[in-house]
Amino acid sequence: MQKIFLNPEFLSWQCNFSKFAGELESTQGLREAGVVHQDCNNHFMPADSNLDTLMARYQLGDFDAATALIETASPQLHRFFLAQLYSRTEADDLLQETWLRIHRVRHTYRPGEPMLPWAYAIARRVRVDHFRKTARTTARHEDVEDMSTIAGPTLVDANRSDGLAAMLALLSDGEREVVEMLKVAGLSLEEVARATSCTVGSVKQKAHRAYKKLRVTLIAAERNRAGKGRSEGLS
Amino acid sequence: MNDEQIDEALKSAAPAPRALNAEMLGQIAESIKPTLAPVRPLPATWVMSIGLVAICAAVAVAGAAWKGFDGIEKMDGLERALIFSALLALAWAAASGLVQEMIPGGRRIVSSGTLLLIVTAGMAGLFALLFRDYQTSQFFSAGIACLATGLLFALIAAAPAWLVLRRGFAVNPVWAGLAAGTLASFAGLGMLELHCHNFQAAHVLVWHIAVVPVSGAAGALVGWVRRFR
Repeated sequence: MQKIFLNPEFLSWQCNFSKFAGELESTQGLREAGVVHQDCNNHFMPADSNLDTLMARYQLGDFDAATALIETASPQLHRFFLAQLYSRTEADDLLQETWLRIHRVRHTYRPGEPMLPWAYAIARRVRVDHFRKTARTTARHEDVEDMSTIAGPTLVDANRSDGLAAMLALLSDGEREVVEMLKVAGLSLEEVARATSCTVGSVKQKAHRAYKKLRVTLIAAERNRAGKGRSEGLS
Repeated sequence: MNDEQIDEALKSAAPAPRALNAEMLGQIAESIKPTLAPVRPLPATWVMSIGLVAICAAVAVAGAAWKGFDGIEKMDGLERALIFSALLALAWAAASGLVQEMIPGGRRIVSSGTLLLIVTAGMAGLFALLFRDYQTSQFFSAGIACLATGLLFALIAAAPAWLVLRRGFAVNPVWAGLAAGTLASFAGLGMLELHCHNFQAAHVLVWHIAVVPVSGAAGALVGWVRRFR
């Protein structure tokens, strides 16, 4: 079967994708649900639907819309878990759990409202529940096992050399989450506020604090690089 | 280093997008298929808020009807207008806040904690302005009785309010519990204002107002316990 690769940047204006959302391997569900259609040159064009309308159709019991929604929104949600310093396997599990939770509470989505903040809010809850569950398991086993052998939610996958994760690791959970949503997922302040159950003012404050920390870190890194360059030049 | 440069650094540090496992996405879709039935979205925020305020008002009036309308009968027109319009306005704000807490991704104007502070400070300010009897006779005995009555009616209001809210999904059970407790406290506080004829400033300021934070704290505690389930 021929695989069709879709560039999410191309769809971002219509489908509310982040440009970092990830490549989708198949457009089958999207075509069936009407998110994209093929023009006479065999190019995939975004149709008039978007995530919000897909969600509304999902509420009506439309399986094609549900499939398309899972395909389009999953890369962003998966990325959200990865940015929270989870391993890829954990992020996969959390993504599946998020969709099951979304399915269970899909009636709480209101047609006409933005879908992504709603989905992110549920993903956050899944993440918090997972964190607590892992913490409890860790506490239960700490008498018999070495703490370092237990995979905690804040441990980055050893194989993951992710520059963004390294930068965001300096921030608190709340700040990291806000920066990831604002600057990587491309949500607006209002959408981040909705997703994190905060006020817009609180999101601004967290972003401000995060940028302050990032500025200090980046300046220090720049100075280090400059210092190394000078010492190499002298030698 | 300015914000734009930090934005650039974040973008360049972001890893290249990776494809998700199509099989996994297919499995997710298949897992929801058997239970994919049409669902009715939640009603509008204002509809749910009206329902919640009506429940609180009904409980407060029913309680006062049972115990007597001594408080409202003793008040003058200005006191009645100010106290009950303030109770209604703040109950509306608390109900709207609670509904937003029960909807993932809902718009927050103020947090549940801030709302509790606003309600407590607002009602305390109003009571301090209106009640000028500074005696403190039977401060504890009368006060504890009023607090217990207020909390009882808050609890009574919480049960039907839960019926309105049970379809919602609290992404933060503690904040949702706090908001629910704050809203339910209006049933207790409203009932006390209708019924209690003790207008001593200290009594009203301490024991009547205490219904709000105690009820809010009880709600937050219930939310905290529920999050472990």
